[in-house]
Amino acid sequence: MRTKSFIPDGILSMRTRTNTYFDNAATSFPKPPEVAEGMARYLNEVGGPYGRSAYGRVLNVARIVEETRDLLAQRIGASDGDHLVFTSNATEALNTVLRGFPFKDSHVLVSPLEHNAVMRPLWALHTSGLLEFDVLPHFPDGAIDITRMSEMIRHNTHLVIVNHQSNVNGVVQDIGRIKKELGTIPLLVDASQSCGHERIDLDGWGVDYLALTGHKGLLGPTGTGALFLRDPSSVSPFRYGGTGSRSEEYEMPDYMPDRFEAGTPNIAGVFGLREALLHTPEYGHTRKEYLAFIDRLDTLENMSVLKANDASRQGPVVSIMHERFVPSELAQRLTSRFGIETRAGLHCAPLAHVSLGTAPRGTVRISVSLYHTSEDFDRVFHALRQASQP
Amino acid sequence: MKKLLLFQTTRAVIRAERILQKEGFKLRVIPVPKDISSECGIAIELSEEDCAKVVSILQESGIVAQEHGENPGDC
Repeated sequence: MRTKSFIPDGILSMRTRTNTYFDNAATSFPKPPEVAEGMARYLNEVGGPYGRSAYGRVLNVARIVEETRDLLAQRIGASDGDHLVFTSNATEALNTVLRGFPFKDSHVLVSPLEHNAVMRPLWALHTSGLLEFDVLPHFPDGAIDITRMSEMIRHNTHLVIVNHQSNVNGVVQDIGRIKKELGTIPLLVDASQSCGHERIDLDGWGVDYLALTGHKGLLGPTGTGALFLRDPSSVSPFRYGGTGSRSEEYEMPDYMPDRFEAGTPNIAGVFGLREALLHTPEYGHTRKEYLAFIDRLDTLENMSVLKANDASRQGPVVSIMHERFVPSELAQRLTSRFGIETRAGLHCAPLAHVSLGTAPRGTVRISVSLYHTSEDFDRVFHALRQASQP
Repeated sequence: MKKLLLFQTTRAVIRAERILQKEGFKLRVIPVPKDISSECGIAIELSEEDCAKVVSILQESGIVAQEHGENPGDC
């Protein structure tokens, strides 16, 4: 019989029956079994498009898609689901804002722990001459020094971008305080890593734009994501095409969510995401056990741990550096000797490594899932201790 | 006699359907007839009596709905 913490057999090591997958910041695994079942139900039984006709099959699809949108809006503290649009991932959501924002002689501030999903589009806009950008003042772990933010704001600071939870060391930024300090300057939050792990109070914090993905902390399928826009008219659509509405016009509709949802959405993915939102498993470990695991990592010889200085702002990601072994070598030892899957390198976040002093070598990243147990943590700890010996 | 309610988006139709069913209204979701719009969109069909009542109920939930005949062609 399945329980809420059921883990599919396929991910368990045959030898130890433990969960060896510690690359959940790349994409979470396992998923609740209902996710695949929901996707299969759409592909094998339900079928049909979204919002292009009015026969029963289409209406059933539309009802599920809209229910999922509302569930997701609820999860992130957004009262208005109309302003939440589905995207294929967080990268597309971030690009929608960055490519559609009316930059001109603009100044943009970014957090020190940004991912290339922000930095690459921002760099392209910078090389086009549309904007300059600076990194916000921060502490050694990359937490933004909110008290010094105002020093960086110029008359033409048109946007501030903050990565809610780092995909390198797990630092969680205080979005509520940051937005309060910024006042009316628009804030774009990249919640790729935090969504599903951290509480998001979008309305309470007054966030202007928020990008998220469905396949990491939310435990949904790849190819799902979303963008929230408090003022949709402030950004031009990134994608133009059919919406099933106002089809007689060449102009994109200006109402939501159609303004940003041209083309057939990833319906199978949305069916899976709905199941993930409805069937979030219980944690296999406690917060205390997770923090104790990080403290133990800190005791390992020849290793340093990149983490949040304030434990209350630590997300489910940490990085480690070894004095002798380069990250790829250490990660390979963990995989080949112990079957433990981690990620080595820069994690698509070179700015974060520059800010943390770990560029260009990078780190070995350990990113946990709510499925992990304290026994899984023990296994990683012992594996690291042995792998770090010459 | 039946009347039609027209909406801007699929989402608005689905939300309206959910709200009105919860309120106990008898309705049918149907394609928007060709004589109203070239749109292959969706409309809600209700009794004439109910149609007059529901527009304000939907407005309270931020849903814009138009009774057919008020501004034909605009959905």
